[in-house]
Amino acid sequence: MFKHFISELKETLICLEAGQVTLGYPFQPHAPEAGFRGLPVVDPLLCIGCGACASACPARLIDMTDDGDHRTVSFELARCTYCGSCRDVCPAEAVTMSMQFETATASTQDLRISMKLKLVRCVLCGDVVGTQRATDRVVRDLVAATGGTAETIGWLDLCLACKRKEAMATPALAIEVTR
Amino acid sequence: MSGGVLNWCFKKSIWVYHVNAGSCNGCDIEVLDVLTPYYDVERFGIRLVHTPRHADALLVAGPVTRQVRERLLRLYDAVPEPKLVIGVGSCAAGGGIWHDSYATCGGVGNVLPVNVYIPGCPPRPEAILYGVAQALGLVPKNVEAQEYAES
Amino acid sequence: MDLNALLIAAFYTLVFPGFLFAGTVGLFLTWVDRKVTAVVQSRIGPPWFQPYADIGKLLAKRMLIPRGSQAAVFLAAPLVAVAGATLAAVIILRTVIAPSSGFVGDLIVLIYLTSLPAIALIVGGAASRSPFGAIGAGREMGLILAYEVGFLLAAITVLVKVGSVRLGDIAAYQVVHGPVALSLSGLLALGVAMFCIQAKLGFLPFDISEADTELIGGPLAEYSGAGLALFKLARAMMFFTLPVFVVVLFLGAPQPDALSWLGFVLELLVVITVIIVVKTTHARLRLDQALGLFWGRLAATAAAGVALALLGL
Repeated sequence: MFKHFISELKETLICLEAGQVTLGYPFQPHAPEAGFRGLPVVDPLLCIGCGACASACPARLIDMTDDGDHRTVSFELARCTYCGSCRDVCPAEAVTMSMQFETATASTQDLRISMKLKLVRCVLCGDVVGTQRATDRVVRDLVAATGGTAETIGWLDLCLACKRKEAMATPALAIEVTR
Repeated sequence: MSGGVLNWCFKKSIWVYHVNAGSCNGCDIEVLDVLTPYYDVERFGIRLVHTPRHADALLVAGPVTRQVRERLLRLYDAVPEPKLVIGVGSCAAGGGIWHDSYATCGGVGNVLPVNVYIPGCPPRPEAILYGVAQALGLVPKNVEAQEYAES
Repeated sequence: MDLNALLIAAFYTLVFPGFLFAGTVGLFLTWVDRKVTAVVQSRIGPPWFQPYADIGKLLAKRMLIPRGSQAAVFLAAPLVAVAGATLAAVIILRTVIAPSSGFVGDLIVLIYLTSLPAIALIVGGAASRSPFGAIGAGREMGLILAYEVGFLLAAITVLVKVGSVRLGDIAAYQVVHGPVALSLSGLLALGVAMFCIQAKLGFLPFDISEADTELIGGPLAEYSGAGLALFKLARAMMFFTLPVFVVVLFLGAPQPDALSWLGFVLELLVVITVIIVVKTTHARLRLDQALGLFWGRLAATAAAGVALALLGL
């Protein structure tokens, strides 16, 4: 019993060697390590409204709704699991995982991101083609790939169904069968 | 004046009762981290108690499964006023990835009146400290809704 | 009894050295306990006003009375605990300040009064209609049976050496013959008494009845608000009273000069530090282990102390 008491006292002295290990937070900032995934941040000027993030999100918190001539992309970040899939799949690199972790709030409405982007509708049938920005990006990529100009790219304002109909009705686009 | 003194006492001494309402234990482990010497919440007067009768704040983690809902309501009733409810983690905030599951209630906000949510999966111990400080009115809110409309 | 004497008695009981003084110093000592614990655990710990803020906060909370509990007993138990602690503080501190102010048999009265908070805990826990309260009350009863034996035998050792049941005489004896602890029987009795007050205070390794993680507070499980505040206050006052009691019994009361008072305060701090360090470094014992310890080796040591005192050693 006495030996036990002495060994406990020795342990106490060993513990005292460590000094004070308490961090200065919250009186001093404590930055997370590199690679930390904090609150997702969306650059509304880069987002093309493609919906890749909406498909990839495991919490299904990204919603895309088309209404009239606007597409609303909204993030309900209250239930985000900070996996980073949205950042990984975004073709426009609009989503970044910030280092922000001080996200406490009394109302989950403070954690919503909502963007309204202009839609392009099919001139023939009125269905949704995509966002204006997505179309712009397609033009840019095709111009860079083919070396042509924006004016030579047609059918940008047709939906997929109408594009097919147009293609089948255009003899110049029929593929010759020689054998 | 007595109200001011008692208010000060309440702010300086919050006793917390931790509830796992269907959490995966990630948030529970982070709550445990906050109680370690590294983060040391006792310097703010915060203590973990083991019965809701001694508690001032309920720290709820998890999306509130159907089985735990009744017990969570009873725990809330057992805490004497004045009391706080703090929802820890993304599951407590909005149901997390279980938000539309038949087996959960979609977050603590659908079951109890919540004073502050601390999102995270799991939230860092610093984030939990920040959230508790915010519930006490010591630090400001750092997030707000963002709206953008293309013209 | 005339009004003057009544007012003076009320002052002693309620202000100094009674309720207010013992309560304030006792709460400060609980802060010392938490701070030393924090230092041992390599962290910062609470600020100095923490125990006062805790009591203030508890007074601001609504007190819930469990349905079906014995409400009158449930509410009276904390008051009994505080009353016992206050009266014990008054008696022992008055002896320290003015050693001739006691009465014959005040040592025995003090032993009874210092066990009142524990009895109030048992009664309150049993009245709270909670299974945790019932188990906690049963454990506290077992613990009282355990430590009172040792404590009584240690007090009897001092009684035999001094030959009087008056605290004032015990203090006077030690002025002439030196501290009781310097004799072999006194040393054994002091060792046993240290164990006993660790258990009386409900500190680790003997916090069996209030095991937070096992019994969610034991008898205190259903207390909230003012009731809990009073129990905590009674415990804080005991944390001041019992070390003073042990120092007066075994090391002597201070004489009216500054050096003697300084020595007394230092002895008190050493006793309190030993209590805190043992509390910080030990795990909880089971009830049967505690009973075995108190009725086995400690009772034997205390009995040996009495025998040696009877032989004059």
